[in-house]
Amino acid sequence: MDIRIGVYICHCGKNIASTVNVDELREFASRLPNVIVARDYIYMCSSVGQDLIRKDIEELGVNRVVVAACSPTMHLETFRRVLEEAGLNKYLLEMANIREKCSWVHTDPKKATEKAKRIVSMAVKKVSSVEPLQEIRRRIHKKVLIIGGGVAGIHAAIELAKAGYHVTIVEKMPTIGGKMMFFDKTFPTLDCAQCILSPRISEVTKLENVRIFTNSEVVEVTGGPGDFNVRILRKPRYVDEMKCVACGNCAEKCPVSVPNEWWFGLGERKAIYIPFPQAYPNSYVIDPDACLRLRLRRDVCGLCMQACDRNAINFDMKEEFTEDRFGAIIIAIGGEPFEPSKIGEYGYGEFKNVITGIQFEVLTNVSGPTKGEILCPKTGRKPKTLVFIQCVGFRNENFNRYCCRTGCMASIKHAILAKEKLGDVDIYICAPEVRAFGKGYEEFYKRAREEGIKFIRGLPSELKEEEDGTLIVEVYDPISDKILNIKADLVVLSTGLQASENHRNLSEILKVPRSPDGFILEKHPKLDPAATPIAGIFVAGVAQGPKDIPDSISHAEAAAARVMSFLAKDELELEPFKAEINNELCSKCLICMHTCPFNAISIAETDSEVKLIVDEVICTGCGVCASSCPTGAITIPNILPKQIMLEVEAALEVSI
Amino acid sequence: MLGTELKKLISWIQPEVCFGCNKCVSGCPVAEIHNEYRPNRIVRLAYLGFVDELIESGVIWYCTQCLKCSERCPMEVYPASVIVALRNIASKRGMTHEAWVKMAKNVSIYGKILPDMGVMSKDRKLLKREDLGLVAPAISRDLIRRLFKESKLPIDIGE
Repeated sequence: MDIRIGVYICHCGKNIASTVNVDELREFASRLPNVIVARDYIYMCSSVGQDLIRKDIEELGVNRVVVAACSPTMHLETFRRVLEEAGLNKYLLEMANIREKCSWVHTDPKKATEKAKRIVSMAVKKVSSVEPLQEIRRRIHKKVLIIGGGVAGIHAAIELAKAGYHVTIVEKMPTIGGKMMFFDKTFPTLDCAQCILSPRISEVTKLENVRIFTNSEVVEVTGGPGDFNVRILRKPRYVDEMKCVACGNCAEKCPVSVPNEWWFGLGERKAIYIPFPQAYPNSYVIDPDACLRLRLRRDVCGLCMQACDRNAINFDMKEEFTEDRFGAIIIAIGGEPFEPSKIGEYGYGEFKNVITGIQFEVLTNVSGPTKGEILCPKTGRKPKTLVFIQCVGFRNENFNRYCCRTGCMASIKHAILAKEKLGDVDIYICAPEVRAFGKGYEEFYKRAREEGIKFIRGLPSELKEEEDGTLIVEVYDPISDKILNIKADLVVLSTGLQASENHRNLSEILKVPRSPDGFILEKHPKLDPAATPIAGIFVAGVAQGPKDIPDSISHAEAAAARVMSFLAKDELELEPFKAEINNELCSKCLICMHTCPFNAISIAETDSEVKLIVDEVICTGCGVCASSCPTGAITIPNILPKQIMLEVEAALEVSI
Repeated sequence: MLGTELKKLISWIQPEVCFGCNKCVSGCPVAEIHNEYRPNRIVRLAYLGFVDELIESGVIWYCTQCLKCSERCPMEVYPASVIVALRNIASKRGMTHEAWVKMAKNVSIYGKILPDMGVMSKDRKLLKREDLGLVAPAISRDLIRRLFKESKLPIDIGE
């Protein structure tokens, strides 16, 4: 059958047409070999534009298509669908990117048009040599892995489980609940954090198709979309969660006290402890780094075992590994609070009455060290003057460049709570700007002003401590044009969440890219915010970027919906561009095995021969193996060396 | 907006990224005593093109160059460096503050801003270097003058 190519040039409104001379390009394209028709249209991706292609395939017998428009990441799938609908194999299409690679980056119309001609002729050459291909189909495992059991992970799990999918939550800490469990009240409604989260925790734990692994970590992930093979490390708790009734007798007897990480250093806990009374599983846990028996010898201490009348404590528990296969993964690992001791001028860590926002949260929490009373850590007295400093470690070139998105509202909430609990108290919030962008947030900000909380549009430059622990806050108030000297009993540094070590580790394990701020990169910030660029892996909540509770939950539910549509099909269609190894040419040097970034190549040994095989699910068709193979045994369909040479010839206007 | 003259001197900083957190004002030892002196206001006026007004007002000469504002700025705007650049522009126009001219003259004579003043002994006698058997610092006035000339310091130090 002869090759009959149709070339379709898009103006992209003015995006392409303002720099590239579209008429000249169309004339040029129509004279290229095998091209039987060349057309241009203002928006080729619109239904009218698509119809042009469809009609030519049906009426003129066009059997290869070149669309000269934007990047293939934008509309490759759109035009492939057009070919399919017109009854043509969808891999007989080439996109010539004359927008991102030409009109957007050049200003000289003459040179840009010349370049566009080269790009189009490359695509025409290439499309004349491509073969029809069939996509690879894989069965999808209808199970979901959610990494992280915070408010985002829990909500995604509930939605997915209700839709009938089997869900596994892997949580690193000994309890699910995440950062929200530290909170006393939530803004802007001031409803109790426990009262809104605890019922959700209870709901998720009662769902039959949800499995929760606490104290566990994902250590290895192989396979690909639809079929991830995941290895989960389950660290020992040393307490049998089925037997423990959380009576607390063990902790009373435990002789070891260490700083309580759940109280951010504002109090201590024992080596055997429960993070908070509402923890799930509602069971004590032994910290192996603190426990004498686990650190020293098997015959020391053991007081907790004697105290436990239910024989729940078992020091013989070992690390276990669980392996399972999942169709999709949701990353919901949250973030970590910024540690402001790096900012010398505010003296955090040195001045005891300087605390962070999350420590203030612990102070107001009834299950915290002060039973909900706001007391200065140094003096143990109730503060008379409170100063909040915003944007600490955020919107800062030296630390985190982004806005923490929670600090303003958190400090307003703290100030209102402090006013409520302390009564006669002078409160200042020093903020360059107050960002009250959510529903009901501006009203909440107004309520704070009505309650007499003073907002100062400036940041203090440094804090000075007097002997009695009082802090001198010198801050410029631009409205009165005065530099104020505030004697504060307690200074709260408002910090937000940043990406943690977990983001780095997990991005390496899952091969998911991160954005420059360290958070997990979404596929598209507007159009696909809950998916990652890796098929089958999704992201929910703060793992993708800082969010408050309403945003985290919306994002988690979006991720759950994306997973549902991904898993709704029984089979996954994979691009057919997978490495193929010609084992007759292969010298078994194994260079490809070591260069493959995805570990897709493995050795298959039978009695008669040794072969290298490619896992088609894992292979992304990146071509690293093909270019590193010394014998040229590896090829990728439709990206053959001779096809690349054809494109080079067209680009250089020569014959090689 | 930023005049080309100023932009050339501070090409390595971006005064335009200031979002007005006022941290530079809060810590400034000069702003505490001079109401008209605000580091970020100087940066802002320079950015909006009010270079002539700034130079004429004389406010740029108040800065002690303690560099606190530059150190603490979350946006790395370096107000102290903007002020130095403005002082250089003023000097090129022959509008150096008289105190600076005096300092420069002292440097040309003594090799430093202040001449040797000696020290007061316990019995309240003023002792000079020679009295203590210290060698007088070797100052080559010719060399200093040459340095002044070579460095193209835009201050007239006289003969």
